[in-house]
Amino acid sequence: MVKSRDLWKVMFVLPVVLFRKCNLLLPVTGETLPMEEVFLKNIFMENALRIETNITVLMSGMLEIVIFSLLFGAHLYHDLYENSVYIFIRQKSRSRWYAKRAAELFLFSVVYSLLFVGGTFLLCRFYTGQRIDTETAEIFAVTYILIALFSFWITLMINITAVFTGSVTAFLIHYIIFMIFTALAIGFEGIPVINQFRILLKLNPAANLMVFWNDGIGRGLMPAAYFLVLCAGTYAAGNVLIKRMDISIENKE
Amino acid sequence: MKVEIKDLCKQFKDRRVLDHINLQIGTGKIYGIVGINGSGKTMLFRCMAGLVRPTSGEILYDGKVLYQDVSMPPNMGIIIENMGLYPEFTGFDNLKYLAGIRKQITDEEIRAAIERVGLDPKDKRKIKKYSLGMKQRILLAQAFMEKPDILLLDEPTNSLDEEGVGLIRDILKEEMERGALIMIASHNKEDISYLCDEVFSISQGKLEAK
Repeated sequence: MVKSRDLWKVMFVLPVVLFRKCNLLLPVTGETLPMEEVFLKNIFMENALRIETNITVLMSGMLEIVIFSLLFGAHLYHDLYENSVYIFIRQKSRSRWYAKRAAELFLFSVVYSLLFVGGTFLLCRFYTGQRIDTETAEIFAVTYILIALFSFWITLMINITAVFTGSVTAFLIHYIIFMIFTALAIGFEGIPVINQFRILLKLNPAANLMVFWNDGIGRGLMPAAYFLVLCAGTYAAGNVLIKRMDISIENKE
Repeated sequence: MKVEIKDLCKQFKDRRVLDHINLQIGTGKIYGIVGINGSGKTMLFRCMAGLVRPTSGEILYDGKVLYQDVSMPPNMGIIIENMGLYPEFTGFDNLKYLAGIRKQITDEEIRAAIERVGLDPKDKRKIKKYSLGMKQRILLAQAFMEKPDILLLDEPTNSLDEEGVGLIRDILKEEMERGALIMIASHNKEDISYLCDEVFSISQGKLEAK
């Protein structure tokens, strides 16, 4: 059941985007960069593989996605520890409850990402004053799809892991793992095994999210398909867990 | 409605919480389970409600095996000890939220359930501002508001005064006459003998007729 506070949480990204991106956009407007460059710089601060950057800069550039995980990291888990008995005895099946909650989470990630990516895109258009050509529109669409799928995937994983650890620990676990993946994606050229087996780079979610335009990863559709597979796998694993778990669990918050 | 429990066991690592429980109950009586804290009363209710999977054994509702023929028990109302409602919502909003899951009853029926337990449905206070007795009453209203076929009430008289216990007795009789199967668990033998027609005792996960 979508509550009004969930809608407010989704809207929370707008002031964050306005504040952060306006501050980041201003320095680049002096340069005569194409709009798609300005857009990509402002989505993750910098393009990870093209420009030398460090992991701290890159992760802080992901703040909007991190905020989404913080806001919705207990979206499913919430029902499992608060009021769980009274909620679950009213369900026709646990799978149906899980499907509804996961669908809500997906919807929130779609809208939230649209506000985030769309808001950034419109700001770039406003600051650069450049025309939106086909390539720019394509980059916007691919970026949006990848960020929406990634936000849903990592937040669903946090919700599922929270069953065992509580949502705060689950959040930390997944973002620490993601930081490791990001470090591997940034420094892959210095890691012989990744250079030898490029499939390892293609399986790295961080690489798929941040450097999807790089030839080594594949442009747009492949990373999107990869994230779809990750989402489907995580959803299926969560479904098995929810069906088998004892509901009246101890609150680990 | 007939409920049959066959050789039910629940084990957590090396601790057996329910030990080969066998039970057959049906409508027309109020059943009581008496046992000290930690004896397995609440775990039995959780298994019956489809919230906790038994390690072995079966629970049948009108001959249908839980987790095989049906994924959840039929229309059930429940109170579990120490499991409250949303503290930031009013009593009415809490019940409306829960009623929204099954979508079986109207706002008017929710208000009537709250009035039935002696509370004011227009009370704008959040649950966290309620007294313990009021919290218990709103939980009761939550349990029977949708006219369930089965009522499982764990320590329903907790925090209630004499008048409250009398009110529960009246409500339970009405629910039984309506056709609900009612089962109460309590550590309080007096309350159980006052409220129930047939009593079982549970100790270290083993159930016995009294």
